Amino acid sequence: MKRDLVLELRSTRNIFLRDILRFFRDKARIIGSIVQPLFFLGVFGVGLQSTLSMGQGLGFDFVEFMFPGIIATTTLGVALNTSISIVTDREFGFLKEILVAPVSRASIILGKIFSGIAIGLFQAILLIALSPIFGLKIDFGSIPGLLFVAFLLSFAVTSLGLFIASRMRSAESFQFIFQFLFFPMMFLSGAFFPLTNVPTWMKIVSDINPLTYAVDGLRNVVFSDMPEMVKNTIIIHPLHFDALLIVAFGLVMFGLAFWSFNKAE
Amino acid sequence: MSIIEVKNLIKKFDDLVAVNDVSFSVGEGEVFGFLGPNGAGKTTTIKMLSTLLKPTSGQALINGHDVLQDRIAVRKSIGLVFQESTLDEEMTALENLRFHAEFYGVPAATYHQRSQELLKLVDLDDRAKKKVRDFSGGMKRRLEIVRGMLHYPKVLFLDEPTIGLDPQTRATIWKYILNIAKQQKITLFMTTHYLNEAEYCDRIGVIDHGKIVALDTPSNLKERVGGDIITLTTDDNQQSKDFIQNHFSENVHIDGNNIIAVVKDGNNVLPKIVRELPQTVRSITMKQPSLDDVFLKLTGSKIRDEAPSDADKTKRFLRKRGRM
Repeated sequence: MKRDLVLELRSTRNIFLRDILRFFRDKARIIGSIVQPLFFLGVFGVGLQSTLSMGQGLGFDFVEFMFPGIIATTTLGVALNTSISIVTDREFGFLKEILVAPVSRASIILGKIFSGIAIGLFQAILLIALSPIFGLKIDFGSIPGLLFVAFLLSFAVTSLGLFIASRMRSAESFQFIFQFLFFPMMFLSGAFFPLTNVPTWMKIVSDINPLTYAVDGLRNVVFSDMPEMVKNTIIIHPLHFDALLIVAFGLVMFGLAFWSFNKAE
Repeated sequence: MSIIEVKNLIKKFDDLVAVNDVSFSVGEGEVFGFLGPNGAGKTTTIKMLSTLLKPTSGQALINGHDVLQDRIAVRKSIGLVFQESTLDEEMTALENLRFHAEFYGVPAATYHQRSQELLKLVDLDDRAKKKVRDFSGGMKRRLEIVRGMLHYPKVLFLDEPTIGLDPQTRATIWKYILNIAKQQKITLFMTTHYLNEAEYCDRIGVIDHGKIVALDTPSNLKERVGGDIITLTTDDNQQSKDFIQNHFSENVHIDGNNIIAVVKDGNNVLPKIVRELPQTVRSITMKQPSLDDVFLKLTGSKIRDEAPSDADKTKRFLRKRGRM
């Protein structure tokens, strides 16, 4: 019994290490993970700054407002993309090697979740490290808070990705679902404009969008020093509420992914 | 003691009965094979024995473990080499082996020593640190076989392991498989529709339409054909056939432009036929019975021993796209 547990833990580590190895071996992905956030920050943040006068007189600018949204969306993209490895493994046959191994499905899914979290966090750290280029001054004290929310988001999104991947038979169809989810989630999360003053339908959609809570959580951290009056214009919920909702969403998705992989056998 | 014990195994897919009440047992260290055409139920049987597919009914024990009740224990006892490649092409040969060893709890020291040994045995030791992507088809197969044996399974399942490879590579790969299996006392369970590969087996189960139609050693199976097969054409096939029937063999018939006679001790009978036949012999050939002849005799149809047809390719493509 004890040996079995060791074997399960080794298998989780095994899956995790392979994903990490493959991530760092894939030069295109590494470059993409650096260029995409730079593009977002550069084009949206700096470019739109001149036309939008948001935050003027309130003590922050548009780049600062955008930054949490960009951390959230890039983490979303990266973590969701990590799950695609299940689908490509299926296409190349390698998934069989994993599925016939004498270990439980839970260990395999856990390994995948851990690698999704690690890659998501790597992305968030990269963004924080690059932020001074755009004139952002991130308070060192807020970094643990940012990484905490990025961690929860990576967990939730990787679980979502695994659930989708368990049902997908080709990378093309996964990509399709990815686009179908990614853009609405990104634009209706409050990443690019505050959700404090939007039509009801948009409010409802963004309320069921898990990314909304990640963006809001990150903003809680970034703007923690701001006066209450400023916070009220851009922040919707308190941090613990955001965190709780992301975790709840993640757990539901994790459960669905586990169920789905066991069933597909 | 039998290492594989199968009783009344049945698998139905909706209306299609893929495996129809199959029972057999395989002894430890035996090389056992399923021979049959595509769609006969070979792969379905392997999938059930390796816990990848649930039987509709019946029982199967591997190394004493039930494939339904004790799946993890069964999986620990077996190795699998599938029809299609299941390697990670972006990883090196050693990384693929390492990944496998971790799953089966092979200790690090054992893994290092064993992977070196096995890679040397299949002449891949100089490629150990190269990405699999650049390997040839034969090299990939060899690596997969090594991986399937890395944890020294009790039973190694080989589902058409040499499909799509050229005859020379096929022969080499079998040499490796049999060599390692003998060394490690691994029981081999293979399926094939290449007839010459079935010759490697200690015993063969001939399977057709989901049923085992015969189960015996290759030489016993061939004896069932009744002797050597002589094919000839003469000036007057009908009269020649009657002559052969009266003087040499009861088992003779006309097939198109040929007379086909099955005779005992063909080496001596053939010159006699040429000498004594009143008609002029235009052409004559003799061959020893092959498993194809066995199959023909048992089922009345031939195994297609050829390159994969378009239908097969489509099937494989769909399978790649499909579940699992």
